[in-house]
Amino acid sequence: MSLMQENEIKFYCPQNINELDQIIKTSKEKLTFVAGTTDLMALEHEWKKINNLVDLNCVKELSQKIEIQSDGILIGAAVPMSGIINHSLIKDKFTILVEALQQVGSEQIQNRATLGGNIINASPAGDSLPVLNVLNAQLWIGPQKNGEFEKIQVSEIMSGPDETTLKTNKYIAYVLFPFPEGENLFWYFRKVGQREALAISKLSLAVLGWFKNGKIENIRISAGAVTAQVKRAIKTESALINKELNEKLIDEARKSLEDEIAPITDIRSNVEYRKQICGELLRDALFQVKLEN
Amino acid sequence: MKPNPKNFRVDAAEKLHGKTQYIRDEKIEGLWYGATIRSPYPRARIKDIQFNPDFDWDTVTVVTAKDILNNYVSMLENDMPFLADKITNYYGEAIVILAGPKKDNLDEAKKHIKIQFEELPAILDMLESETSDVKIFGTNNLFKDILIKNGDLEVAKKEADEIVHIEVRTGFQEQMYMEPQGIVALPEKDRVVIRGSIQCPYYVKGALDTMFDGKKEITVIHVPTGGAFGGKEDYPSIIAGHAALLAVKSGHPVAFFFDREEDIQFTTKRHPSYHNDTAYVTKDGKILGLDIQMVLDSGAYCTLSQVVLARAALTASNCYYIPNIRIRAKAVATNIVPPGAFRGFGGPQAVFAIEMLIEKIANQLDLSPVDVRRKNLIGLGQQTPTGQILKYSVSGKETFEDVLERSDFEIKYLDFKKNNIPILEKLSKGEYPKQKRSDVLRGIGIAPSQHGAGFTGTGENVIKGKIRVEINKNGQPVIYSAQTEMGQGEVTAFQIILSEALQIRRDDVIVAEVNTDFVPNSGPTVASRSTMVVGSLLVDAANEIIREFQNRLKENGKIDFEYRQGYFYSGEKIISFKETAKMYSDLKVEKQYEHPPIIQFDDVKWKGDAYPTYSWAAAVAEVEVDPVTFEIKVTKFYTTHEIGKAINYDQAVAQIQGGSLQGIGYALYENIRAENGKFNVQGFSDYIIPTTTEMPDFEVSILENPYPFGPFGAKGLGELPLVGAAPAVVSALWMIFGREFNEIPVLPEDVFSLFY
Ligand SMILES: Cc1cc2nc3c(=O)[nH]c(=O)nc-3n(C[C@H](O)[C@H](O)[C@H](O)COP(=O)(O)OP(=O)(O)OC[C@H]3O[C@@H](n4cnc5c(N)ncnc54)[C@H](O)[C@@H]3O)c2cc1C
Repeated sequence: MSLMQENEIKFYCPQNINELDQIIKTSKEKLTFVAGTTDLMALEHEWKKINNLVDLNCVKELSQKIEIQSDGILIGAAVPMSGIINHSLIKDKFTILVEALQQVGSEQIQNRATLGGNIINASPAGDSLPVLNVLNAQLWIGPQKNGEFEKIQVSEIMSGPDETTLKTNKYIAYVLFPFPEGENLFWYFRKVGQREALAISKLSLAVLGWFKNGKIENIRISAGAVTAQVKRAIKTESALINKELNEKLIDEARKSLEDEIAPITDIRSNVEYRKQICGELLRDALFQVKLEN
Repeated sequence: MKPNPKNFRVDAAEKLHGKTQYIRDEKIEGLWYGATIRSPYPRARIKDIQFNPDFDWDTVTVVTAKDILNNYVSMLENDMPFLADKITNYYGEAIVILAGPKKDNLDEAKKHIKIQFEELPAILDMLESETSDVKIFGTNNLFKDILIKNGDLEVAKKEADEIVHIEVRTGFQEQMYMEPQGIVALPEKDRVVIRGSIQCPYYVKGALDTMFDGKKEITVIHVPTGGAFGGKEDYPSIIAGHAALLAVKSGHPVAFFFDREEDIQFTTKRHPSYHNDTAYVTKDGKILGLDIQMVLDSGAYCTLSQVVLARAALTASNCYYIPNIRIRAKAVATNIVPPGAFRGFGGPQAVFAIEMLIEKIANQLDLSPVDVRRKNLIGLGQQTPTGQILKYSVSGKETFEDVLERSDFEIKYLDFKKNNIPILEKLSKGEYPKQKRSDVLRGIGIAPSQHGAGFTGTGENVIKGKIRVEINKNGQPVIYSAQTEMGQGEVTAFQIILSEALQIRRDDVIVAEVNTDFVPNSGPTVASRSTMVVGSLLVDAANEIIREFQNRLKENGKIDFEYRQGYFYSGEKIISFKETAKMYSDLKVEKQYEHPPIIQFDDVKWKGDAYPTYSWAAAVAEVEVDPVTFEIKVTKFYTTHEIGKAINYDQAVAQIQGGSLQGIGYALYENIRAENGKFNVQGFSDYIIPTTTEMPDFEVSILENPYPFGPFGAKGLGELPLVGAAPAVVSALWMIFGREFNEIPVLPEDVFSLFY
């Protein structure tokens, strides 16, 4: 039976970003930010190390804000995923994001889990990460300096399995999803787990791109759970850019992606399956595009 | 059909509202926690146990094998110690137990205990057990060896057109009840009281009576139990022993509350099996003879393996009439956590194996798998492998035809085959398999199944289950039995049976708490026996109560009373059951079970009525396989069950759905392996069981064909739904791929490897 550990924890519930930043500035100790708690809850061995808990749910901007801006949509890092999933404009403009988040855990988990938590947890199997990658998501990092958040690309924050580059007492305030530049957009997301809900990915694949004059003008590809850290498959992308989509090219791309990933064998699946199926998913994605264009 | 609220389980509302008090919810004054130090080797000699003097040993209580009077868990063989003494026989076997008021301190104490081991060679593969130099049990590591013969295989061999052979394997399966194991032992002067999540309180009492050699009175109380599925049949005896030892030594109540990881790693599971079967068949698919060999991996100690093996062996021919048969079944010892009881109890392994053999016969002879089955189904008046002649309540053919018709099997079979041709062609050439986004491979599979209801063989006559019904002062009958509620609906079923037999209101029947001080031993809550066997005693008790009231009324008034719909009636007088019962509230009626004399079994020669009767089922599974990822999904599941009489129709449907889903899990998801004797999973995130999203669309139909000795004709139901689900699912995979599938679970990776 897991009983609460007996270390003292100071609990902060800042009501807005300024209060939050103030707490950070005056604090000499390590702060632990918490949003949905769905990851923190499972890390029982970490609880003992927590002395200062900052509940980001209190910070209205972070836990509620979804704002449409001229260049994209800004989402509070502590907004529960179900808030994103049920947002009609996001559903319309960023269907791929909604599809990915709908496959995180279960509805109960989506009601609590957040993008900020998923990013910081930095699991190779984190299901929002491939989609954040192909959407070129930008992270706004706090506390603010001179009233400004530091802005970094999502690719800059991953540094390894379960590791990020975020420094102590920094937090993710917002995630900005820029509207993709192209027209004739195509996209694909597929998660393969051991069952349909409540399953950690065996692998996943996100693809986003667009055509111009019959050629792929741009394509972004990112696979989950098949590399130590989730990243874009740049080589495979460049093999496709500025090309006409045909079966031969699709086959080349599939092979290239298989070479670009480095899956492992674990309790959920094996190397052979992960490698091959990752390629198959790309083939599936590109064939769907081909059939529909 | 919508469920009828009248049939809702009486325990449901409290559970849904979170009000039910499970053992962990109880506030127990001065409770200490128990902890276990376990073997880190599959087999080792324990050379020394050292207690580091730097630790303050007064803060905890420690028990080792030396402290135990009779250091064996009283079960079938008495070979399993409560705590390993000189040799430990599996990874995780308990060696030292300790208790204290603070968990942190217990963790600290554990670090200060050093056990010196000498690792010994171990048996980790069941097929090496019998011939291994390592001896875990007896001279040949066989817990049991069964030979069943009927007819003459030589005749079958001579007349057969074709010989079909298959090897089949099934894996471990974990019960995965929602509530992990939990037991509290409360010490009193000359007594120990056990409260906990327990399936069979009298098993626990028996084990503790033996452990203390009768020097302590033992009371066992069943508290609300969050699922069991067999997993709380034999295992609680071990931890109840541990808790009791620590409680007596420390003077404090002691709890063993397993977390999920400890539970999944070290408690019993379904026995893995290996089958090597040969069929002798005519060219049109009639089975003339079967030569069946099966091995159950039975782990380091016998537990219930002998009876699990018996049921597996006795179920080996499933629903088929086989004129010439030989079944050789062995339960072998390995240095792995001992498996135990799990819903189906050997049946799922046996039925899966023969159903795969049937698939192979159809495949090899190019016959329809439906026809091969149909041709061999057993009927009334035919003989089982033990020579039992089926005289009543036989529905193998009826359930089979019913489910075929309801599912449109034959049409779909052809449609799906057609659908699959282009996809499979492309797959085999390594081409992109789909023409449109929605393209999937579709399969449909079928399997009949049966389950012998009640104990195997002479079991019921050994146990001689006893119940008591007392009339309380409010004129309500109170049932005293040892049957336990674990979510299967036992309490509700008992209320229904007694109230209908007495023709009174259901909520006027009270079911007493299961406390071994007050309830007689009506036998364990296992083997799908509670409704059929103990329920029949309730009907007998009801009849006696009515007779007794009639007698007493007659003594008073000197006139005969007739019993009509809850009223005692005689010419000018009419008096309700309740009023009568209030007058005679001292009445106690006891009933004891024995098989009717026409049921006879010889468990040395394995001849006769292996079970008093059988419940029958047939299932059709529709399956989709994604041609890109090879993910497998059961989309529709039709099943027809013949269970004599559905005592609680809605609950019967729920049992059928739940059991079938567990069988689907067995077929496609539940994957647990012992790697060098250690299980490779920790809990819900890596031991994958089906959730509501994996639940197919169910079409359940219940047929009734009364068993003359069951209450209102009822037979056993609880286990049957699990038994035939896995083969129905895997039958659909044979249909899709036309290839042999002979091992469960079948994972996407396995299907993938057919092509890559
Ligand atoms: C049953 C279950 C199923 C799950 N299924 C999936 C799944 O299918 N796919 C998947 O990807 N994940 C899954 N998860 C993991 C988890 O739900 C996600 O990673 C989720 O996004 C975490 O978000 P959270 O807000 O709950 O994180 P929290 O637990 O609150 O925080 C996680 C970590 O991030 C830090 N943190 C949180 N927010 C911020 C912030 N804004 N700035 C800085 N640090 C921050 C915390 O300090 C902590 O270290 C599952 C978890 C559970 C319990």
